[in-house]
Amino acid sequence: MKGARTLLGEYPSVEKLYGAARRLQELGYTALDFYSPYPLPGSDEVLKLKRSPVPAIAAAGGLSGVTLAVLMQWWMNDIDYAINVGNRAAVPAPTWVPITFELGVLLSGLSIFFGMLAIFRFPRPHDPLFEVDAFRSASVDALWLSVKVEAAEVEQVSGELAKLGAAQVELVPEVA
Amino acid sequence: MTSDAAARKDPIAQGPLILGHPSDRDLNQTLLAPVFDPHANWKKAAGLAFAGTGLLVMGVTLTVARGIGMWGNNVPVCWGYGIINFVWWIGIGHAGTLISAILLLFQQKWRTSINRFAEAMTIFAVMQAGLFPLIHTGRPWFAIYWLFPYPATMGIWPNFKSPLIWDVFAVSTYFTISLVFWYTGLVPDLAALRDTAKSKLQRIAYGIFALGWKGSSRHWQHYRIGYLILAGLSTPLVLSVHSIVSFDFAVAQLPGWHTTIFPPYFVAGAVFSGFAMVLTLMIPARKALHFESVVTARHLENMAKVMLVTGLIVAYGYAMENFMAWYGGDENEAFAFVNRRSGPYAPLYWLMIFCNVVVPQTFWVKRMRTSIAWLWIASILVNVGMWLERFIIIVVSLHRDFLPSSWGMYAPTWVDWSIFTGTLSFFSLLFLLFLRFVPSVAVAEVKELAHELAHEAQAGGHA
Repeated sequence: MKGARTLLGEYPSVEKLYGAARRLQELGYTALDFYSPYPLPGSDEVLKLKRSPVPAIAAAGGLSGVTLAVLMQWWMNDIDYAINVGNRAAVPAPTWVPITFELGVLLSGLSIFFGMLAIFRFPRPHDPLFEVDAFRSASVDALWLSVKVEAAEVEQVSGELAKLGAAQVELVPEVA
Repeated sequence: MTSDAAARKDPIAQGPLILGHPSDRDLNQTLLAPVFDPHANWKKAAGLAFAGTGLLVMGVTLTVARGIGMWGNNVPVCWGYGIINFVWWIGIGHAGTLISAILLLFQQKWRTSINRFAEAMTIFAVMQAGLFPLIHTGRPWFAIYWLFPYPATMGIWPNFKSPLIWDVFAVSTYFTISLVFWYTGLVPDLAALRDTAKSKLQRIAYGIFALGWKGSSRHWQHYRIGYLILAGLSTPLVLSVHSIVSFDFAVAQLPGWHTTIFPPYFVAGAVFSGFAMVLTLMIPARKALHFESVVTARHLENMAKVMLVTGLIVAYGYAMENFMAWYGGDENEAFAFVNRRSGPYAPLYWLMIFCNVVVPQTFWVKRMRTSIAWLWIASILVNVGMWLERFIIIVVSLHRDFLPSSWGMYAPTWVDWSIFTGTLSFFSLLFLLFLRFVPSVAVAEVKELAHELAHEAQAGGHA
């Protein structure tokens, strides 16, 4: 949306917050988000979020760790610099299990962390929302709703937000 | 609903997990207070720990400059304090992962107030642990090509069939994943710090570490599932780490080491000593930081119960080791255990039995496991006992093996002691820094728990 602005409304309860979101969705505003100090049960359904890709990222990371570990141990100890211990069969070796497991866990865990950073586009120490001073309560005890609207609709939608029970409504300043 | 009815409904529920009905803002204030308004004695304690860390620096410098000969290690006891302290420290870390990951998967609500604390303990303990194998190589700057597979000009690779290499992968994975798990949990609380900080410096510093977290529901969706999978990964990881540490011993042929009971017995011992360390640190910290309302008597009692259970597993391990040594009919194995019970180090063995087997039995009595003073003393005794266990496994097994002509005795030197007390100080220093600069109770999770509990109480009231 060109010239889009973000409106914030603070709501006193989860019920009011969800109610407001549903009403806005009916009015055609779907670029909504909630902000809360802890995860809100049911918010995924209200916002109609798609399934998170994080489990798939974790699985992909884990599988690449396992593959890497098997190839590494096989190539390094059996091909490039063969170490014959007690003339045991080189492949497949039970002695590979610990490192294969550890590397699987390592890459899976790291891919979850960095995958989430990528999804969130973090690090982003300064977000335009932080320009609104009252918004700082979002990490303390307040429930906020944000909605993206056309610049021309700001007046109308902020009235709507207040009608839906917002304790305060704020317009996020435009960042140059 | 009356409290009687509540007790009937859930016979396990005893005390409350959160005292009173604090609002989100109250919780924020109480739990972040140590960061904004540090305890009067913090500087003294940190100064003491910093001075103690000097011992570590001195010990390591001497070891690197003059060699491993500065230690008490000898032939036959070629693994002395280096490996004892390594196993002890890494074991301590295990309770942190157990509390944060395994109890999360089992949906044990009481973990919430203590998980951050225990995870920090894990990370700092693993840091101490990692130091020992590194310096015990004597020339740590060579250790890189002994330990990690990187393409060196020598054209050789580590031997992946060796448990010592498994250990490198296990410990470094454990440290990395614990750190990632801890930091992921910390991000929402760092954001809370950023938003409530009064000084500009704090806002900038916490703002950087909070990465831009704004509590968006679109983020919480990924965050929750990601955190849960990290917990799911940490659970088998923590079991694997001490199992692999035990392979360092169990895969060798030495009587007293060569036994299949080692992996489960090491893991149980690790959790046992880790919970002891959580109590040792938590009891003074909750008093100093006024966290009694979120770390309640029930938390302490639950930890005592976990120690009782894991202590019994450890006791079973001791009994089985002795039984198998006798029943197995191997002369050398049998002698190793006779030597533990009645050899030159026997007093240490019986002290270990007292600390690890007798002391936790007092937790059968409710009055004992709810006495905070006794819990603290018992936790220290268990820490001592678990350190002695590693001393006995390593030194007492090595000092008299197959050939009586190569028997010997072991005594640590003052350099060994400096390094050990130095790591204790360094650990304390890191912990004090953690208490000072980071929310030591997971604020966002406690808020969520408070809402869940309030919701349950409401639902119960209507039933």
